[in-house]
Amino acid sequence: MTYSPATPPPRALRLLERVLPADVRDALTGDLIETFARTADARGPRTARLRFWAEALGAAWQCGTWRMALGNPSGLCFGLTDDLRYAVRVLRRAPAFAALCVVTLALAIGPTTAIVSIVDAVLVRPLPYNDPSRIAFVWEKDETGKPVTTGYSTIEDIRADATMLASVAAVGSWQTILSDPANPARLTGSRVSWNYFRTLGVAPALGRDFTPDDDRPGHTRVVVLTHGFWAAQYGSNRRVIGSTVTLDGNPYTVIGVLPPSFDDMIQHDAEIFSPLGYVVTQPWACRTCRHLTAVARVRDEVPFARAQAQLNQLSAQLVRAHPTDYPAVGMFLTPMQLDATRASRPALLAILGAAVLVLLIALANVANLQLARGMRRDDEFAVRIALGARPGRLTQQLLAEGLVIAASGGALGIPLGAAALPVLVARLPRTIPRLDAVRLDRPVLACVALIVIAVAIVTGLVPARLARRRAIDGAALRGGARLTGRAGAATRSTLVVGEVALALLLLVSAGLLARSLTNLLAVDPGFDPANVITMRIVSSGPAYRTDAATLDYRRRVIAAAREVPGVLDAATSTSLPLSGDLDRYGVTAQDKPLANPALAPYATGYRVNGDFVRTMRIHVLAGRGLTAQDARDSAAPVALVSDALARSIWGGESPLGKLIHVPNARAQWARVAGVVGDVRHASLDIDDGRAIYLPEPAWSWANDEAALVVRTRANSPALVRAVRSAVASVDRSQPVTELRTMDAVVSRSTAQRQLALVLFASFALLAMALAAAGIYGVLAGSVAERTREIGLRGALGATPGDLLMLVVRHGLRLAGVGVVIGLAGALASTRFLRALLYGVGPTDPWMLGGAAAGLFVVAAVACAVPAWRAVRVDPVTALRE
Amino acid sequence: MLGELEQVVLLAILQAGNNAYGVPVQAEIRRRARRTLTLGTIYKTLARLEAKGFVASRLGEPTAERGGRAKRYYALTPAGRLAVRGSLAALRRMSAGLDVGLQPP
Repeated sequence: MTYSPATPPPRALRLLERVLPADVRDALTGDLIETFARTADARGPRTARLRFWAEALGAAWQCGTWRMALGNPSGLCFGLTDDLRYAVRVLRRAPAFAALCVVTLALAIGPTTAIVSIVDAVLVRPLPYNDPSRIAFVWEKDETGKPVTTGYSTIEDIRADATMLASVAAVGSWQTILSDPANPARLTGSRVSWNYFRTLGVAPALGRDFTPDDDRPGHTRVVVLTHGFWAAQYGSNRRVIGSTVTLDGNPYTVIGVLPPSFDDMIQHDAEIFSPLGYVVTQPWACRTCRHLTAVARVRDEVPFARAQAQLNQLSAQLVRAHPTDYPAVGMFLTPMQLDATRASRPALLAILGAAVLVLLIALANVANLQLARGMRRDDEFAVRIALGARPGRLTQQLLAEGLVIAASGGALGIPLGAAALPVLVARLPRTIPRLDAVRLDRPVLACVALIVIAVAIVTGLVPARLARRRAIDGAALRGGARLTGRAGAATRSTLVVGEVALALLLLVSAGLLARSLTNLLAVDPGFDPANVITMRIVSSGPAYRTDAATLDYRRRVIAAAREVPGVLDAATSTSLPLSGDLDRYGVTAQDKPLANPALAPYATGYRVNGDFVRTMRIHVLAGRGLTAQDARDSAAPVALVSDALARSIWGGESPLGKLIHVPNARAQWARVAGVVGDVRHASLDIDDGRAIYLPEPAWSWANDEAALVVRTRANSPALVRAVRSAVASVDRSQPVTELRTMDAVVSRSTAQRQLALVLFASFALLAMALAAAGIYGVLAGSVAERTREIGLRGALGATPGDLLMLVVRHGLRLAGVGVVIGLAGALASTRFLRALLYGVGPTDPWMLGGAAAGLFVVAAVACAVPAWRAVRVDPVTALRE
Repeated sequence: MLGELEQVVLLAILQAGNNAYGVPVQAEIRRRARRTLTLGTIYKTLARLEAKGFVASRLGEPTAERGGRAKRYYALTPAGRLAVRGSLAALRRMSAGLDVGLQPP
């Protein structure tokens, strides 16, 4: 390695050039460069750079007084440094005041920093692709007008006819097993058409991209790895290119590794990609085989609306040509970033809004403290004005004080936010994209710096305005402090009223979220999650090439789990409620034929082994559950339907004994043997319980993975371990993953709401505390100012009760005005929370009333100390003063 | 009487002898007074002393080691020597006969 001498930080050098007076600029800078070289040799370049910066900042700091010492040097020394030095000195003399201001601001700036970082990464920062704003999803429209995934034949038509799209790629999900004898792993990835990465504008960092040649049936045994997976699995070994990996027992060649910045928007945790290898003649490439996501790049210069119009035209043609394959005319072209973040946007923006409210409250509080102090500094300002200080100078100095306070608040708050950031990100649901890209980087810091400057201006200007007025009145010097005192008190009251209003807004929001979460967790999911353990079992590799082997493995796993003492029952299902599994099929009844089969009601399909319905304690409403006999008897296939599905097909008729058709089932018709209760499958707040339960052998193929559910007498960690090891012992070459209790699955499905609630609740508490402090401050100031008046009232016969009420009434009046404004604000703004609410309206009168009452109680408590002080005023002392 | 910083900087110039520019002055203060003053503070003090006529400065040759920047050498003027002498004598007289927990020098 060649030795390269370290150089002084160029920015510090530029700072010195800017601020130092000409006559010492060269000498001082030269000295620093000389010292830098020596320090770098002795202590390393890092220490040297740090010391250089410290010296440079020190020199800049000195430069204000320098001017005084030197007369009038030519260096650019702005007067602000003088003011900053003075501000530091002033604040040092009032440490309690300064600490209160700084901590208040830090408590608001910290969360804001963290949340801005997250919002920036998820919603703002462009996706890590080339020209990402041109990339979009193309969705078909379902019978309800909602976007749905699409089939390969449709994608081929779009590719051929939608000329405004530069390219169209198809993506299908892919779960595969890395057959590593020591440590079999389940990998998540996607099967993609060869042009997927080219459509995104991403080139592999290593090796090559897919080619059209790889994307042909029978030629797809090549994979591209993500950078993270490559680093974790292969220790970033470059020789992995060209090597062979065994997936599901088949050899694949590694041809490329993606760049570290790559982040997949379809499969957030994707590790591996392989070509799709579809042609339109394959049965699974049909128009109704809607299991693919279409990704398109819109041609440069073409507005999205025009591309959208062209797709609609194309869709109309397709519907004319294949009327039974499409439920509705129309397609959706949605910008990728907007679409991928749609679900998390309301929660993130609501949390950001809450953080901004807290920031505003903190700001009002600090301005308030500054004002209170400013009034006490009347004499200082009066003297300075009398000595000829222009009002502008006073403003500048108060601004400098605001800047010192705000910067200190930022200096404390930003590390606070940085510390909270990983905790916050870990609690966010993994369904939010781009979480790996969350970091406290320059744009975020720049944003926080802007906030800090705004805070400085407000906390400085509010008291400065009053100081100016004082200068114009000249009142302070003439002993007329009352006049300016009243103006200050009015401003302070306004600020407190604002604080109360904002605090109420936060309190109402937190209450609404809390109510929603309790409502949601009180929802009957349709099964009993208590004392159920679940895990994902997989069967892959040469031993499981036949469906029979896979089904036998499932049966052995169920038997092994049932052997464990404490286990009551066990079963498997291809989908698990509330786990994010989505597997839906159009169901048609023989006696209710549809003109357009594409309009058949969609139902979640559960392909089960063992008695899944009994294990999950799903209610059997009519008929019976599925038995082991049903699984064996392929001659007379049976199915269970949920209540909601039965109603949507047959209305009030009994479905028992009716024949239904499900695509991909082995037999054309299955007989309905029972009706079971509805289960919340996608989410607790979505009431779409349409479901169908089939014995897995009745399906055309056996999935290579399924969820195992085990009902126990009582869940315990020891029992969970015992079940896991019993299951693992069935075939050690197969991974067992996602081991969780069903309670955890249910709770996790509300993670985003829980986080929003925790944040809103802590913000609301902070806001209430700040508002209470504000009320206290104003009342304490007013009692101190009105001591004479209170003494006089006491002397004239006011009872302690009267005096108490005098203060409390003042406090409650402030709170009352604040509450009224806050309620108006809540009525106007809580609708932004609507996406997060469940079972409670955004203007729920109980919530609004409760929050208002709560704030009044807090306000009354804040009145207590000043009121007590008023009662204790001794009339004699007060009047003598 | 001289200010404390002025005193320390004047003495550091004397200690540094013919080589009295910023770096050695800072080093002498660090070594002898066990205080780390930033060069900004030192140059500000020097500027004040120069204005009072206690020190005089001249420019040295620019060197590559210093990024092509010239050194500025400082030396005490006769007035500066008098001021240091007076200041030290005053200190000695002030502390004479006092036991402040220090060994006499």
